[in-house]
Amino acid sequence: MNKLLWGAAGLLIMVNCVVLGHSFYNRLETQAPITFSERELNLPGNYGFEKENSGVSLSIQWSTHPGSASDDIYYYRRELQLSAEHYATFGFSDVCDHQRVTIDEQGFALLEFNGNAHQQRIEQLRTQLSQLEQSSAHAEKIKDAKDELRQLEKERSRLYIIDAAASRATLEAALAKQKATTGNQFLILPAVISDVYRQCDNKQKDPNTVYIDDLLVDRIYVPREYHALFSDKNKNHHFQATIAFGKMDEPWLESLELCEKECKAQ
Amino acid sequence: MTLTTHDKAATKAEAQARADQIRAFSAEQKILHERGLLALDDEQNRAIQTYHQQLLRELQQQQDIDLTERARHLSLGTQIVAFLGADAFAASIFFLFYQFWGLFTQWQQVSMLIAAPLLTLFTAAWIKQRDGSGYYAKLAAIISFVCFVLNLVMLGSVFNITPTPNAFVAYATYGFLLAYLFQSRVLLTAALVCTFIFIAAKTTHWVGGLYWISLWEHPENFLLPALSFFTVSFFKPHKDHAGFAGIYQIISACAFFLSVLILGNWGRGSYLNIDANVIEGIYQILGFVISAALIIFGLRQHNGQLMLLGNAFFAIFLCSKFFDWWWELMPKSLFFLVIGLTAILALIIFNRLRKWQQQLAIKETSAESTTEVTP
Repeated sequence: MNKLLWGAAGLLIMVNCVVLGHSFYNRLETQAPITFSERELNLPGNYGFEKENSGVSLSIQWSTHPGSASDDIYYYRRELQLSAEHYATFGFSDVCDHQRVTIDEQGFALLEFNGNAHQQRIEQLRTQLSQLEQSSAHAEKIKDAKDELRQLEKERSRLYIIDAAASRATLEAALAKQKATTGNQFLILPAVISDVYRQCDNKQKDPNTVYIDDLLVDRIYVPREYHALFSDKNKNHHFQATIAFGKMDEPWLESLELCEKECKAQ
Repeated sequence: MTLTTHDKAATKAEAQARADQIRAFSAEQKILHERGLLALDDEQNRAIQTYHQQLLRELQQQQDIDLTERARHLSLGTQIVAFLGADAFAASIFFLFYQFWGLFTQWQQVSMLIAAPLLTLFTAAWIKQRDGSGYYAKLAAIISFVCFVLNLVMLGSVFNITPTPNAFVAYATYGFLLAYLFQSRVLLTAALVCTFIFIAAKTTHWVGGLYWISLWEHPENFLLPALSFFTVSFFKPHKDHAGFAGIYQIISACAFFLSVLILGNWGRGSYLNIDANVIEGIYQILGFVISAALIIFGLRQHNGQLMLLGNAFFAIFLCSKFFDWWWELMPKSLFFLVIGLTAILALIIFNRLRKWQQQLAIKETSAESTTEVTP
């Protein structure tokens, strides 16, 4: 019995050392930290199991690049059209098959924060609103468009996934070109990517289109020292949080501050 | 009267079987005596009774067996209650952490998460030293396993670690260690399930190139591990661990048959690059063949549980085929009538098999008694 007992105890200690060592290794190197606001980081809801949860985690909100679809105003999109080269890095077959099996692959996503993708989205909506006003459309439609624009400018996430590939190196090459021309803030993070379902609908194929299921790590734990800031779970809090990403692309919260009203743009 | 080495049972199962044998002998002796077929003199009666009483006392002390039918029923009830109690404690610990963990600093959280499974492990070992029944130690061991799962899940949450299937190999290893340490079939089952998940997750990634969460999309991931673990009891009989061989076989068989059942109805989930209908046909035939083979294997091994499992899955495969063929074509009353008649046919076949087995057993018993009588 002693051998098994000490073996079990040794296993517990060893596994925990590996996990803590992994976390320590991740934090040895920091990618450029990004400061998000409550628009990109959602607090948990105050219902169900979350009501009893004393821990606080922020979940990252993002959308995919708006693309050229002008009538698609659904704000948290998941489809993303890639270049042929990037699509080819995945093992997705380009076969039109209505009975396809879900194919999820682990890849990497290139994210842009508060950059061209967000501006392009705003411009699209402004154009739509302008067209609606000029065409004397129904007042309800114009109101909805105005609400949509306001939410996009003030409330919705400014974080967009603009590219994806199976390997990080492919995206780093693409990123180098992006940074040279725009100077915006970018991140490369691991994500789960699948082949899109509506590829064969309406006799039109959407070539090289993938579906971004989720980022591999999309929740960030808030250390205890900041919990008091969120003591009132029913209130809408305005805050800024600086998130760092480490060697293993795993994030952690570096700092967090509340703002009285809307936080100043970063 | 001293007990010989022949009397000493190595395992609890053997001790229980010996006690049941003695009870059956006493009951049969009484009936034979009442019918005037067996008359032992007082000295012989006394000697037998003394021997049996001493033996039962020893076995009870060594292996904590049930001496009466009532005690056996209570034991079964105790096992069920212990299992439910362990689940309740585990859920309580989980929600306790959930409710209060946010009140502690990161290092306090880490310390508590590491200490919980360690403390419960040593507590379980301490209880085992003092309690012969083993129920309380098993309960503590299950709690320790749950604390370990909580340990890794919460550390992953606190440090925002990428989910990985490697956690399942840690759970499986710890589960196996606890199972063998505390003779817990529940923990062995948990360890096996974690092992299957880990192997399936890795196979999904290596063979299919898919994200490991998609392991359920390809049930074939479970076939080879299931077959492998079914054969564990052939190489290691587990005489010192009551019921372990059965758990390996039953859990492996369930994993195998469930995978075949799914593939028999959903051929697109196969790795094989052929028509889905052909794949479904192949797996349906495989399901019938392997379940029949399991029934025969269970018969030969005198293993009622395996026979039952084989029967159950054979029936499920058959009902599944009936559904495919006739559910749309037949009125529902006729459909269920066909299933009922099939069940009666199966009853007839099993009855004939049972009578044939009994005739064989009677012939064997006659042959043995003839051999004993003849010098």
